Amino acid sequence: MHGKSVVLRSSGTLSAAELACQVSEKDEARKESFNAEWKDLSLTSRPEEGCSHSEVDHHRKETYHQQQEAWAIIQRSPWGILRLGLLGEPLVSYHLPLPIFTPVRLSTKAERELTPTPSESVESLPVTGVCPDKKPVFEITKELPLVVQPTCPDFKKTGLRRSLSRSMSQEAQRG
Amino acid sequence: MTSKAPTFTQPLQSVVALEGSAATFEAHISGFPVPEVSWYRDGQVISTATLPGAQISFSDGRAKLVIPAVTADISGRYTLQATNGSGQATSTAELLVTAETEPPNFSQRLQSMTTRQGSQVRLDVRVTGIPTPVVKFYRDGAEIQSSPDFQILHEGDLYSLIIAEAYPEDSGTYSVNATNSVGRATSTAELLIQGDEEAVP
Repeated sequence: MHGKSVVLRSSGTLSAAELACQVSEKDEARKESFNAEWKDLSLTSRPEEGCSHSEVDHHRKETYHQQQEAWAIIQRSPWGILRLGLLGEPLVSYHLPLPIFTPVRLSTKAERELTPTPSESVESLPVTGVCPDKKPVFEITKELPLVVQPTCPDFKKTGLRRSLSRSMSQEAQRG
Repeated sequence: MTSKAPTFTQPLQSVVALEGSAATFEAHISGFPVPEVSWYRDGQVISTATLPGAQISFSDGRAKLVIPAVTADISGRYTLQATNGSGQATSTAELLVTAETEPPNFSQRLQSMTTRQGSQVRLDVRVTGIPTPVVKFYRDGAEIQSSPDFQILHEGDLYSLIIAEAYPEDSGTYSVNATNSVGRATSTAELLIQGDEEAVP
């Protein structure tokens, strides 16, 4: 799903590309493994009309028009570096998350439970970042593609359910 | 100095910007007399009312539009128009606004462990990602539902599976899967619970 690269063509020419990355690690000695796959680089063609310029010289009765395709690049990584830009131009790197999207004050659950005073509400906390047009996170995330959950694995052992929610097997073992 | 219609020595260039960050459009214009310049977004004149926070400047032939914090709804085509008595020049470029995304990552992975029967076992992982990944625990491929005996806790980026009292039957391959819209990651380890014959009546 995420690990698959996709290249889209319209009438023979490239229109978009989604290039994926995969990592697979196995530690035999420690009996540990790690796998990851992600949408690494997105390359999207922008219509020529999006980048154009024209000039009109009334006195000399001359005109000029130019338009050109542009390629937008978005490159993500699990270590929080996002690169953005146009193909052929230097990319801009961001270290995520940007400060404006982090909560004003991070506290542990224990702290929150100890201090549930009304003054601790989010609205009353001082604003540290400057972002007059800040949108709530759900406004941003609702436009993202749906998260597809991994398919439900088969329960191969019929007794597995019982051993995971132990109530019966434990008593049986204790006699 | 003779009159000269406006021309772009450097036209606008499209911008890909991260939501919340600043975006700048810039063009260089020549012409005499010095042209008057105006900016448009999707055909509408840009003002502080239509694009709050926007800073527009024009000096020494350099026209600049700075948007301090872009949002998805101001994506579109931006046009700069330069006019004098001899003619007119227009340049158009796109603003593409992208949301923050980060594939899931384990800053702390599952670790294999061996422990004795009857002890409490705690399997911890730390997972990051934007949007916040959906994190699930599995044993031998089957998803573990949180219960008093197999409690799954979530605190910030820390996700824990706590087995209140471990028994040899709980031994197996445990894995944690984290998925969001741009990727997924899985960390796997083995848990071995050693039986204690003397403790069993």
